[in-house]
This record gives sequence, C-alpha cells and structure tokens, in this order.
Amino acid sequence: MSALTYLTLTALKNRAKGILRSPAKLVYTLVIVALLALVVVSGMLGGQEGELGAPNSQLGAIIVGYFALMFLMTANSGFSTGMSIFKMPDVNFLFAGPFRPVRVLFHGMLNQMGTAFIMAAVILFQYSWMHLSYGVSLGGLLVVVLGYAAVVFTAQLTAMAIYCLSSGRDGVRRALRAVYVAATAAWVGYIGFRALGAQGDVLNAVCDAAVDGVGRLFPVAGWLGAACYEAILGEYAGALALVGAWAVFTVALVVLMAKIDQDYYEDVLQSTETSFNTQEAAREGRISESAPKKVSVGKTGLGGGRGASAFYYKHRIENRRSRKWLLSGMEIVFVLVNIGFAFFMRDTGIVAPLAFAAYMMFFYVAMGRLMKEMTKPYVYLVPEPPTKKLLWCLRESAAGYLVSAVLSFAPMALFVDAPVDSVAAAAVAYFTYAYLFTAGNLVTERVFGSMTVKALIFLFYFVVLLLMAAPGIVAGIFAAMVLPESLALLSLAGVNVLITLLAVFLCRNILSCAELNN
Amino acid sequence: MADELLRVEHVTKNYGKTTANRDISFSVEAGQTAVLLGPNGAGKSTIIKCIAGLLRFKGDIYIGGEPNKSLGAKRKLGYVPELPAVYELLTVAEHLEFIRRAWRMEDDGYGGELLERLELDDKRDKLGRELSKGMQQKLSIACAMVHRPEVLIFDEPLVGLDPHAIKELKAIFRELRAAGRAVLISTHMIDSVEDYWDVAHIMMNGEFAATRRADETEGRDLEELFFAITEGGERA
Repeated sequence: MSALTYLTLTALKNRAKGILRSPAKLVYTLVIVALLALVVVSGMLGGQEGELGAPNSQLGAIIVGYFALMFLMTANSGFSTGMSIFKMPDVNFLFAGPFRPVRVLFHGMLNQMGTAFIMAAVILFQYSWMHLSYGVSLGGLLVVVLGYAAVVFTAQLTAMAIYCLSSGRDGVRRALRAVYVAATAAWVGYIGFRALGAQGDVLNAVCDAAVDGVGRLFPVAGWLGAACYEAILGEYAGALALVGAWAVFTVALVVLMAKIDQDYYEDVLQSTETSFNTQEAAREGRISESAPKKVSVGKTGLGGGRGASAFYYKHRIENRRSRKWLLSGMEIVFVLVNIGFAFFMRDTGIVAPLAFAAYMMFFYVAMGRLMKEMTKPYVYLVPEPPTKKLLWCLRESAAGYLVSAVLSFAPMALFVDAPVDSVAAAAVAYFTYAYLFTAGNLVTERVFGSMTVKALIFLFYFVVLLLMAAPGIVAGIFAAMVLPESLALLSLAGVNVLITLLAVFLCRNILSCAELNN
Repeated sequence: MADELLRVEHVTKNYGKTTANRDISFSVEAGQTAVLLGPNGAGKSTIIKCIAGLLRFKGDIYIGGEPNKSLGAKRKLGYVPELPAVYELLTVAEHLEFIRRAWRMEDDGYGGELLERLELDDKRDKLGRELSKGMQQKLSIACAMVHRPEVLIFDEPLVGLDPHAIKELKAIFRELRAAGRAVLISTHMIDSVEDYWDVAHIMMNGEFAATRRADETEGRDLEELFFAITEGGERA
C-alpha cells in the first residue's frame, strides 16, 4: 500500500472511530440520521398519488440558481485569499516528502471530494418539500446531492487554480477576473433579457431561461444544475452530455495545475496557512477579523466614549476599517429576497412578508462584534457593569438593522395590499426581531459556550428563538382582535423589546468570566 | 494585612475531574514582586486567570481589599495575558486611547511614555494586525499599565520580546516595585526574574511545592532553588 493510500485510509478509519468514541458526536450523528429518516418518511407519507407536484422549470431554476450561488462564491475566493484543498499536515509532510506533486494534488482532491459530499448531505433534508411540490423521488434527490457535491468540489478546484495561476501576476489576475465577471454578467443578462421580454408571467420566464439551451451553458453550475434537472425528468441523454462538459472542464483544470503550474506548492502554501490559522483560531475560541488584506487606516482616534461606551466607538472604527458598511453583501441579498417574496404575496397583506423576513433573519443575525470581543480579555476587565457593556457592544448593529428594515419595507408600501401605517409597524417589528434574535444568540452562547458540537448548538438556538418569539406573536394575535393591524404589530414589537432586554439582563453574567464562553 | 494589595485565599480550580489549582493561598504586598515558577502544566496560568477574573473558582481573591470580580477590584488591576491581546483593526495609539476611555481616565502622557520606552512610539499609527508577535506583546504590556493599576499580573511577559524590550521591562518591574505596586509574574524563564524578585512560589501539579523569600535562599540562586524543589524533592 502506498503511503498516500495508507494516509487516506487511516484518516478515514480514525474519523469513524472518533465518532464512536465521542458520545456527543455519536448522539449528533444519530440525531442527524433520525431527522433525515423523519424527513424522508414524512415526505413520502405527505402526498398521495395525484396530489404531488411535477418537476418543472421552477425546480430546474432553483437547482441551477443554488449551484450558481455556491460556485460563484467559492470560485471568487481564488482572487483573494485563495482556496486550498490541502491541510497543514499535507504541507508539512507531503510537500516536503518524496512524492510527485501531481500525486499529492490527487490526494488533496480525493480528500476534498469527501468534504464536498458531507456539505451536500444537507440537501437531503429538503426531500419533503421537493417531493411534495415537484414530485422529486429519493433517487432524484440523490442525483441533486451528487450534483451539488460535484459543484462544491469543482468550485474549490477552480478557486485553487485561479489562485495558483494568478498569484503574483496582476495581469493574469485581471484577465481571469474579466472572464469571471463577463461569464456571470452574460448569464444574468440573458435571464434578465428573457424576463423583460416575457408576455405575462415573469417568474416562469426567468425559470425557463435558467435551464434552457442558453441558460444551461453557464460553466459548472449551469451544466450540473441542468444535468440534475434532466435526470429528474428522465432525460438521461441530455444529462450525460452536460456531465461530459463538466468532466472536460474538471480534467482541464487538473491538467492545468499539474502541467503548467508544476511548482504549485508555493502558491497553495499561503492559502493553506490562512485556512489553518482560521481553523485554529475557531478551535481556540478566537475569531479573526474578516477585513480585507489592505486596510486603509483613515482617520485615527476613537472620537468618543467613556466607560462601557468606549466599546461602541471602538467598534465603529473597526467596522470602518474592515469595510463593513451598514449592510453586508449577504444582507443586501436578503433584503432583495424579502422584497421579492412580498411581491409574490402582495395580495395577502403585510403579515406574511414580515414573517418571511423575520425567518430569513434567522440565517444572518449574529452577535456582531460582541462575539469577537468575548475572545479578548478587555471586555471582562473593563470596570463597568456587565449589562451596560453588553448593550454598548450590541449597539453597533443597530444602524444596519434599521437600514435593512427601511430598505425591505419601504418598497413594500408601494405594492403590498396593506395600509402604510401597517407596513411601517411591520418595519418596526422587523427591527425588534433583529435584536430578539441577537439576544437568542446571547442566550445560546451563555448556555452552550463551551460546547464544541456546533450543530447541536444550532438546534438549541432554533428552539430558543421559537420560545423567545412566541410571547410577541401571542401578544400580536390577541392585540389584533381588538386593535387595528398596525397597533397589533407594534404590540408584538413592544413584547419583543421586553423579551430582548430580559434576555440581555439574564445573560449579563456572560461577562463575569471568560470561561463561560470558550 | 493592610498593605496586601493582592490576596488569594484557598483557591481551587477544577476542569471537570482535573484539578488545575488546589487550595492555593498567598498574598502580594504593596511594593512587592512575587513570581510564580513551575514547569509546563503546573497551574501558573490558571491561577493568573483566576486572579484576572476570567475563570470561575472556589475560594476568594481580593484586589486592593475588594473581591476580584467587583468593579472596584477591576479598576485596580492590570493584566498581561500569555498570548498578546490586541485588536487587529485598532492602531497602537488607539489601543491606549480605548483603555483610557474604558477606565474613564484622562490622557496624562503616561501612555506616550510607555510607547517610547517599549520602542513603539514610531508605530503609533500601525494597526494591531501589522505588528509582529513581540510588538503585540509590548502593546499588551502598555495596555495593562496605562491606567496605572495598583496590582499588575504578568503571564509569561518576556516571551517573544527582543533584548531591548526585556531590559526595559525589567527596569519597569523595578520601578513598579519602588512605586509601591504589587506585581505578580508567572514565568518559566527563571533567569529572567533572578535579580528583582521578593517572593517566589514554586508550583507543581497545581499546588505550591515551596515558597521562598529573597532573603531566605541560603546563598543559592533561584535556578538552583527551583531544581532542588522540582527535581530534588525539597519542600516548604
């Protein structure tokens, strides 16, 4: 057995043993498997023959769109920090060892493929609604999982190739960036063009465009997304042709790496070290700044703050230097999604868009800089009351949440079938949900700070949010029986504020010792 | 008792079934420099973190006569952690400004003086992330001192420092002693504290294996004393 095969098999064996030896990991694995079984069984029982939807271009567009988002985001990292398919021990033992670079490359790719499959397994949880809405069978879903794993894997390989080819060569980087932007713009432009030319149903036109003969030409995501869609429809010949395109692209990347950039070790080293440092920092409870490589210092000095408020002024400087403006790119996407959802639900009033926007918030609201602050000693050492320090640390997110509320709900006032005062009250309620969820994060951190199984924490967080949101919802429902909609929504917002303040007060001990949090 | 600025009483710290500190008691008086010595894993950093209020523990710790987690105690404490604690996106000068503001103090020029002594004055506008490990350590030291605390605790303060900074820090230790501050230094670099310690606590397996005052060494230097206790079985 070669050393590399031995390494791969032993690592796999030890990982499996690790699951059996760690009760927490074992419980987590069993819970995931049980949940998966539950989703599949409930999906199968949920719809009788004839009640199930049929696969259509909407399904294809969802698959292609999701694949495209993943591919573009991952491949884009090749222009900055790079993406490494290697780990630090690979660098120390394999790069310096008597192995041919191309064999080491294949070793890295094999391991990366495993990671891609784990990431893709999340899609299995979508079985229920995909089965009910689009009639996707279990086999069809497995095809999507395979496709997604292939997209993740190819995206990482693409990012690595981009980084290796353009590292230290500005001209090549600019050229590759131009290709990346042009391909994306052409694809988005085509879909936009089809939407504008639609006679009637814009949504259907967009969905059709994503999977038609032109839309599916978009590299990797288009090929694999459309291949999955064709396979679900039973059109295997079309699917095979698209998979062929993907295979050619992947082999070309490997050949490019192996032939043109034989000495890829140096290029990969930095990105491997970066990802190693990030993982180490996470393991030790430290959080690295997600700031750009070149930080513009700009105006210096805190410019304000006494006692606990010094944290707020410090956070403002840190946000400016890390180029975190009011909304992150992801938050802007969520705002657009909120508006889009409200547009389709415009006849149902403002409550459904508010519920959807609040649900979306679940995916991006976090504790902001407080989380980073808790990994340094100062927030514990500063002689100020802990509740005060917590509130000042949470303040930096306020402006962003406010802007998000205004940008999401102001356009809704134009087309949603609801009075303006109700839409305004919904915006206020949305803002209070942001802090309610932040407080939920705080509660989770207070209870589970030392837990390492993040998925269990995530489940707990979900339950905590439901419990914390319940009083506001109940208050809103009762208020709606006797008050106009706008006042009912404001009642909901008021209860949210009270619950948030109570949670912050009860969690103030989180700053009494660092041990609770790491 | 009156000038005991730091008092640790029967502190025990457990991590699950592992006892990191067992029934530790000692005090540091005003104008005294105490050192914690011991091999890796002896529990030095744990007791330091307990004093800084970062860990939960059984027992009592008083700083300037107040329980260590009270605001009054925090006001009187300066802490240099084992790993330099700097903010990546704050400049050197902003670190000191932040500490001054958080401790509600006016700029009395002491921060600038510290930066000069630690050769950081030309790095005032450098971001924390742009500093080397050694410079980050120096900044961490300056941050712990800028609010003029009565009690200073240093966890391996000399690791990563250049010769000039080591010399300067040793001078600072002596000045702090002369100014009546209580200083506690945890280190495994015995020779680095040889010429300015007053009390040495030698730790092994989470306990004090021995405590020696500088005038009780019977002519032996600290290193000899350390090995006699940790390897020769000498006690008390």
